[in-house]
Amino acid sequence: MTLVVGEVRKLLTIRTALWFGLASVALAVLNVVIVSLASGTLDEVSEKEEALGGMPLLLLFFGLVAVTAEYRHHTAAPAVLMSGRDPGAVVAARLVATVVVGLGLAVVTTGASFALGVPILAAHHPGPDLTAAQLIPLAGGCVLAGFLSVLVGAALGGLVRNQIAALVAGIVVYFVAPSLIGMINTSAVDYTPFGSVQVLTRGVHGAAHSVPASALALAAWAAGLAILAVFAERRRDLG
Amino acid sequence: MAEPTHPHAVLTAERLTKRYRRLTAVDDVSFDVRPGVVTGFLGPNGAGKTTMLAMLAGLVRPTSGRVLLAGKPLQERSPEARTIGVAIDSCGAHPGRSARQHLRILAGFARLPRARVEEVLELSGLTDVAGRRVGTFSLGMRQRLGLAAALLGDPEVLVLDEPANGLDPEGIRWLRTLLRERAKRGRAVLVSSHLLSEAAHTVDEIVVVRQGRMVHAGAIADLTPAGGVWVRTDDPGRLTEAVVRAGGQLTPDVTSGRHLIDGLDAPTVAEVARRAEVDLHELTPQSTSLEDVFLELMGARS
Repeated sequence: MTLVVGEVRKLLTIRTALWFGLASVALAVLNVVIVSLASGTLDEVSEKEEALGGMPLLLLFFGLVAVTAEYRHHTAAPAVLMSGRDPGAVVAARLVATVVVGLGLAVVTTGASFALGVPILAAHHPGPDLTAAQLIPLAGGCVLAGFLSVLVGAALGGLVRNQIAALVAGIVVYFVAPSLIGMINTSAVDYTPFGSVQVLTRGVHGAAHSVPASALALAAWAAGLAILAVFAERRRDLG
Repeated sequence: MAEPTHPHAVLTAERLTKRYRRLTAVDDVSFDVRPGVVTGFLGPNGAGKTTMLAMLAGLVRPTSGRVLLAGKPLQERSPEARTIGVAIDSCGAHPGRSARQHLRILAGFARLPRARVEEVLELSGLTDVAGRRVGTFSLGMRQRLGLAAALLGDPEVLVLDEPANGLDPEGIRWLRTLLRERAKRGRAVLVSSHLLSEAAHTVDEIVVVRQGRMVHAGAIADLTPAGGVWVRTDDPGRLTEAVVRAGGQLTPDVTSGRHLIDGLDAPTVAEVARRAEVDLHELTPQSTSLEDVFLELMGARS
């Protein structure tokens, strides 16, 4: 617990979370405004849901940058030396701390998107308004997608360590890999991190898998990468 | 002499080797760091000093050999703030964080009281700038912050990598005093440097490495250059006889017209010449610096 608290303190005493939070909110708001006002008539529930959901790309990058900054600024070693814990435990605490802060960013981003998007959709588009029964699962899906994307990013950051290389790896995992997989098996794309996020945020219609299945798939990716990052850290030098 | 596995050693390098693919950064190095002693770890740039210190701190895994912390292998006793304080390249502070925030976070990891943060800020002369972001710090201030972090747990042993780099003269004096006082209090200090003349002011014992291999280990006093004595005389023949009888050796230097006497110090040479009734027109102790000795150890002196 001491390690997690320390790592959360680290994140809250620099501006990374603040800037990524502001950028994420701005992007989500921009997305919902542009889609709501410039996409013609949105008269179906699925179209309105799609307008509210958004790709949590910046939250993925937040996780990446937050963790790789530890190696970039050589701040990873002091936590190990001061605590007397093994590097794997420190990285595990760092991942937990990053997703705790990331959860806050995901909630704020989703909240901002919904606070602005729901009234705009109701005012400018015909068809049924979104009900609480539709909005709550959608909001939950968006927060979950953001939260797990932060963990995917943080774990990739822990694995790759180099900030630029990790950003490239993040883009490959989210955007390039699904395209390649889709060439082999279209339905398998829904099991990739990108595909799962799309299902959770209603960015895709007619997905082969349900929302819970996609949530489980994304959680499995995030957990798998996190475990790999922890074990890799235990075997690597910090100097 | 720093003999490995000294019974009171707080930190021991036991046949440490580190290879990175084809490059051998550290090659079979053994030495001890003892309480009450400041040990200098010396070598030119690229000699493997930082890699060695990182292995001693447990940050880098040795390819072979082991590190003993208070007699126990590092695998059994993880380094923590109260046992080992480390200030090396790989221990930084985020430029966006203030010095006080940085130290408070580290103190939190070690479960140390916040009051200790203020103590080390005071000790390192950073109290007035503790609220400033580290990114605005000069190199000297960063060095002081690194030392403050290493001192947080008041550790049994301090491991410092080139701590004098970037410090102004006042800072260097502060550093020397700090390290000597710690040794006086029975704490161990291991400090790396590529300047023997600088380290000579602080260290009791030295370990010298070149290209990853240890080339010398011992007390700094043993490394003090003996030197010779330059003399000028009109009667070298009688002086030679007298010097040889006294156990010395006289070598003429044709370019300067002087003679170099080895094996005797200046007062002895003066006494020998007086007894032999030889007039000396010059009597100058040869100035061989510690740096010359160091370069000789490095094999770099022509």
